[in-house]
Amino acid sequence: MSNLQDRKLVRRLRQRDEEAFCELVRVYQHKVFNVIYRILGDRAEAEDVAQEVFVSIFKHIDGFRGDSKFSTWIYRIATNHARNRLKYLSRRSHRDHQNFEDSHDSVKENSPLSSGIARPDEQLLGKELEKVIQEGLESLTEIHRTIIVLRDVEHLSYQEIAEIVELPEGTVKSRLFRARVALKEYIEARYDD
Amino acid sequence: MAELESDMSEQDLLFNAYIEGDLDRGEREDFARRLETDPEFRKAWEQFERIMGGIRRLPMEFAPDDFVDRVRGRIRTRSNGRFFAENMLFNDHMPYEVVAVVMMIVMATTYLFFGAPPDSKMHDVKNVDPPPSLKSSEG
Repeated sequence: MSNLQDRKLVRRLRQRDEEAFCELVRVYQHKVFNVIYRILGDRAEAEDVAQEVFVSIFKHIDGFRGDSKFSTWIYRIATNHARNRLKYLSRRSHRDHQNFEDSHDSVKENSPLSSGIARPDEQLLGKELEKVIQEGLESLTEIHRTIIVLRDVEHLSYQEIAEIVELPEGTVKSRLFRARVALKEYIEARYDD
Repeated sequence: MAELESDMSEQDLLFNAYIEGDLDRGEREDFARRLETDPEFRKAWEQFERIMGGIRRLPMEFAPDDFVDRVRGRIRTRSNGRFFAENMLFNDHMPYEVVAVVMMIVMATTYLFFGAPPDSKMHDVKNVDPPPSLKSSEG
């Protein structure tokens, strides 16, 4: 969507034009959903968070000052929601882990992570690599995960990512490099099992 | 980038810089030369490249088909019906079965009250000239 179309859409959204809102959701739903899904790794959670993102946009559209691109502002809301959900899920998982430590150990023994996988080679199935990459993403810290998704999945520029995560471009770049190396090490460790 | 150098290997930095297009011409030539002459370096690069390619080719995950309706519903609930209130008469999703049943009831009621609609021409039947008989036309 061009900047001019975005500006027109924002003007209509500020007037609480319901048709404009539906158009916004139709245009951005898949991008927003994909980013959130790649950060969270869970469809049901991603659906819930993506809906919350559009509710937030509807509520806070008057707060969009136009300093950045509209899509950048939407990405910022989406990634903030996803990161907050991750923190919430992590706290909940930690609590559950403490409550059910014994049962967790038995689950871990049977998890796909503990099963041996063939070394990557030319015959490696795309689906299998995709699954391992998604698990690798989930092993990263929330900021590393967010940056690698925005750069390598969504192909955004450093400037856009810096605006979305509100960090200097140099920091974004260094964290991206670290995230890639951490992901590579995770995947290599999986295939070495 | 100084903070990176402390905890990332030179090779990892080089691979990242290469895929980001940060190397100048001379550095790219050195990189290509090393790929040809150093099998360990080449193997590590292929591994890194395969993983990066895998990330970049992750398929797009699509929102469910009824996503727009779900968001509308959530806003309607949160705003206590102030926004996106359902309009029963002009709702896009009025089931056609409902329309069909309503029409049948209207037609049945009309029939019960008024019977079959009269033919307006029937009133004038008496005044119509009788058709000419065959005999008179032959005579």
